[in-house]
Amino acid sequence: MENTKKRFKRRQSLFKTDAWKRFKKNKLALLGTAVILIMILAAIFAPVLAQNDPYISLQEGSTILKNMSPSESGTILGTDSIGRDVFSRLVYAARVSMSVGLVAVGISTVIGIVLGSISGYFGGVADMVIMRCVDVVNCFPVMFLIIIVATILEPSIYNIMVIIGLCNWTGTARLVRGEILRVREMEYVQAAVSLGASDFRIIFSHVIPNVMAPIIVEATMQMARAIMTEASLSYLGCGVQLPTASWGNMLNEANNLATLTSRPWQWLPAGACIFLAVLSINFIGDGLRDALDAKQKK
Amino acid sequence: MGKYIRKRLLQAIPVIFGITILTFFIMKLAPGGPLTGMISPRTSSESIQRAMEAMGLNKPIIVQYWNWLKELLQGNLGYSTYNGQAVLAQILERLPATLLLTVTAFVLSFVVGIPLGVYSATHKYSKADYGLTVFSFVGISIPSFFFGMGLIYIFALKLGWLPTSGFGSSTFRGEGLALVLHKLKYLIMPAAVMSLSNIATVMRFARSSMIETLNQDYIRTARAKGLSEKVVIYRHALKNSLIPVITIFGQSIPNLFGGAYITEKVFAWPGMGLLGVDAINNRDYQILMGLTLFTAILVLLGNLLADIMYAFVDPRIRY
Repeated sequence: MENTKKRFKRRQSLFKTDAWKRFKKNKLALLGTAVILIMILAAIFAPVLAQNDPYISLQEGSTILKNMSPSESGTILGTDSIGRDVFSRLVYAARVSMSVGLVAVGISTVIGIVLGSISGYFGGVADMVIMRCVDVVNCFPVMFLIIIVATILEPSIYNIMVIIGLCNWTGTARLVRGEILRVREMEYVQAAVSLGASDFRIIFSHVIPNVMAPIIVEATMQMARAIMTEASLSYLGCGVQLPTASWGNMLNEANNLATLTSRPWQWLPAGACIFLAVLSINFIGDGLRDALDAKQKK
Repeated sequence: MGKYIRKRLLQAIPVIFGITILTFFIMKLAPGGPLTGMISPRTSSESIQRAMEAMGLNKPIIVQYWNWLKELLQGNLGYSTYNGQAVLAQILERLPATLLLTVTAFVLSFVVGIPLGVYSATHKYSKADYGLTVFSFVGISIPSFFFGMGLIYIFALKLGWLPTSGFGSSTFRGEGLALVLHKLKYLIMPAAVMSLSNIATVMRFARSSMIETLNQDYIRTARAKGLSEKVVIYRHALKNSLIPVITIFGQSIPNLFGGAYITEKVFAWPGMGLLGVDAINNRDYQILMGLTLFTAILVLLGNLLADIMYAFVDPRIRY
């Protein structure tokens, strides 16, 4: 008896699990993980990495160093139209993108799990109402909804996180509902029911842990989408507001022909950062899908 | 079949209601309400009161919703808080340009995406398949504004092949074919930007659907009969693998319209998206609401059409 308990309790180290072994084989996913880790580290250590304050125009004597190329200004990526250090802003903007991505996905995943499990587990009227709500939200081009709410509310970074989170739960809800419908009839759930476990306990300690893999994959893909949405909003001017730097609003500032033609350091790095972040997370998501789904072997 | 369509239509009714309710209450969140554009600091409180009564703003919210809904059914989407013009008229004025762009992007994404996906599936795990898979990741990951700026930089500014933005030059005096070609030059880059992520999505979907079809028993039968690979793939597998791709029809419509904001801003394309971007800058909530409602209904119709098409193509679908 003691022995079995111990055996059940013993957890494998993460790096020895089958899932990790499968994940490791996917080179693109590993590359993505490395890029994202670097970005997260850069975001955390932004004050150390940035040579100059991202909000202050650099000056030499009394002249402001506007629109200076990297070699002219002596900074890594030159300066922007009012003389701020582009590299410093880029590093600080990583904080915005990473935190918006994580928080928004946290919110939408929680909502999705709760509504999806209610809908799938109880069925009936609750299911009907929730699924029609999903239809309504899905019918809105989510971008429109987010733009309006972001325009109406003060467009602060916290509002952006919440809005993106509140508008993106439908995918997870549908997924959880489907999984629960599948798992609900399984014997271990029937066993829990016959032992008199409460609905709450059955859902959260028996059903959800068993449908966690697809939820994690979905959350990863959603993080990529959330980062892209924040960048788009900031590009359109209803996202993160100046002077706070975000990769999207850096591109917005640079969106004129003069900058496009002659000052590529003001827009290429910011665009490349969004692209790399989203691409890496998508690679990770793909790797996780293959790694966590044991049934789908190649 | 008829029963399915009827059921699907009935299902759309609560969704339409949901859309109007959501839209109405978001509009109520807007600071100042519909009077903002008409009030100056010198407006007396009595005249504000009068205006509110005239517009029914002092009634209970349910009554306000009902009145708003009645106006809506008569095609009145309200008036811009910025310039006082009717919202619907402004949207309809911009609709053709946006439709031209979205329909082009829509057609492009299937015409390009499906063959690429089928090629990828029939050459599974080859170098080309690997390359196309990476391309599809790039396609869904690249921000459209960044891609657009890159295209402008290369094709308009460096090479000078295409115009940077807009839809036709005001000094152009050609007619007929020359005019079409002239306009086409302006359409190329925005349509490319708008369709890229959709091409990638359609391609991945077509690939996995084709792979799944190729594993079916009837394909094995066809091969066992000694049919050539060409006939197996193009006559037996292709048609069946395309059925699930129809679902992407419905899904890609909201993405395309949502993408219009960004693409139209990058290329100064005179459509609904640009109207929306201006409305964001002017804090013109009525226009934004009108745009949302209008697109939501377009999207709903699109989804309905996709579902009905699906039922026509796939007789297994029953409700």
